Amino acid sequence: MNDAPYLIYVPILHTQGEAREIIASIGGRGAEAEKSPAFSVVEQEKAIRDMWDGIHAKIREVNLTYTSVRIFQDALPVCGREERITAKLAEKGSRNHQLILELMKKGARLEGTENPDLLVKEYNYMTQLLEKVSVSHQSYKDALQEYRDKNMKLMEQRDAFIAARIKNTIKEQETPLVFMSLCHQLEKLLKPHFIIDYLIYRLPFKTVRDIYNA
Amino acid sequence: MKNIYKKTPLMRAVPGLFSPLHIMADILEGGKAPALYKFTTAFLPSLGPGILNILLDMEKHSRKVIAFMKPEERESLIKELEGITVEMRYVVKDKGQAMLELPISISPAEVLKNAALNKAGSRYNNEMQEEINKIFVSFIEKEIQRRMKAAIENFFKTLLARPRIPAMLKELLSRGWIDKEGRLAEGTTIQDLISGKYARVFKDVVPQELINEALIIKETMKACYEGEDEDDGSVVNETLREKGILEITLGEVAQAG
Repeated sequence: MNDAPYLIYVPILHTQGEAREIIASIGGRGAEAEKSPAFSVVEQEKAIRDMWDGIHAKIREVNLTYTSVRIFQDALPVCGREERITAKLAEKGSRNHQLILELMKKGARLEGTENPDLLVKEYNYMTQLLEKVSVSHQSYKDALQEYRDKNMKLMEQRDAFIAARIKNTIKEQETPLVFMSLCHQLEKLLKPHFIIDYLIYRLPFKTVRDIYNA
Repeated sequence: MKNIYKKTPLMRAVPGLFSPLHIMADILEGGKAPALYKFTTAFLPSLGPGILNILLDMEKHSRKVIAFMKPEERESLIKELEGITVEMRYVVKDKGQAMLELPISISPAEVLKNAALNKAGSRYNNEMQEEINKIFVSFIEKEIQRRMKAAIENFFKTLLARPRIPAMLKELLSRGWIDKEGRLAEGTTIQDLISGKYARVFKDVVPQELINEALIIKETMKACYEGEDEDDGSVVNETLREKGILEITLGEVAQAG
């Protein structure tokens, strides 16, 4: 019998509305935001909202003892200001961060998850990529390729840090609740130490509602 | 002997392409679909351009060679090269065993003939890169289908070994859709099982989890494939969003420090 502790893994997606809010907050307009049909498709917005409602419902179903839940969040650095960052992003409309605040109110604890230096690196890579968008299509394509290559290595480092962080901070009887975007590949690092419960299916999100509300 | 080289749709659509890519369509064996899937999602973005760069270099170099040759010398060289092929292999290995192979067969005579035409612009464009990516996705799909088929056949085999065979299974047998060993009729695809002509019968005998798993895999492949066609605008928006989150986050960290 496997005595490894349970870990709840939630793959995350964001609504276009959230994206708009966050992009606007850093003074950007987004690529062809007005022209893109995705921004006006109520249906798609609704699907992602439903997905988050689904996550809420599934978490309720699991009947967690919130005081023994420790939350680990994608892109949240170990810095001492984790709660403040979460509150700020929740205020910008992030359903993910709003949910974390809600869980914290019920007694869950939020844990700094990522190495800040690696996040700075990620930020710099993104800046370099976005600078190329307006130069030419070809330079953007080249930059995107370069970004993907560099990012793949960086992601491995980030994942290694996150997995070690979860492993080292979690205490007996506690349940890690991990919110990670789809680009992370944490499973193979966590599997030797935890029984992973995906709460919802990790993979495709073409039919988001079907998966989350099944 | 079965011909394992398959003409790609691109070759059929653009017969003028030189350095045709020949793909070993039936090479995938070994049951490593999940690893392959993860590997390919990371690997696809760089593989296509890598192959294209090799072909482009060859094309450029051929043009130079041709430029310094008299027409009769060129004709003679082409004649001498007729029938010669250069073989290259991209191989993905797992503990020394090939999981995935992409052999490329180049005919130098064809390369030179085309270089002699000296057409402006390269034929190794995005269309061809997409084609290479499609080929990789089809490899993975094929492997997943093989695994799903094996799982279903094993399941039938277990049921057939029981003293009392379920009625629906008898129906499948009588229709010739499975044989006495539980093997599916030749040519049966996973799509046939989960959404096609066999779906009604199969859903009564195959566990729902297996069907769900097949649907998820199918959707995943679709998502993986469609991800390749992601438009620039959505990539930019996604990057901007991620950057926005990091900007807010790192701003807080800086204030704390």
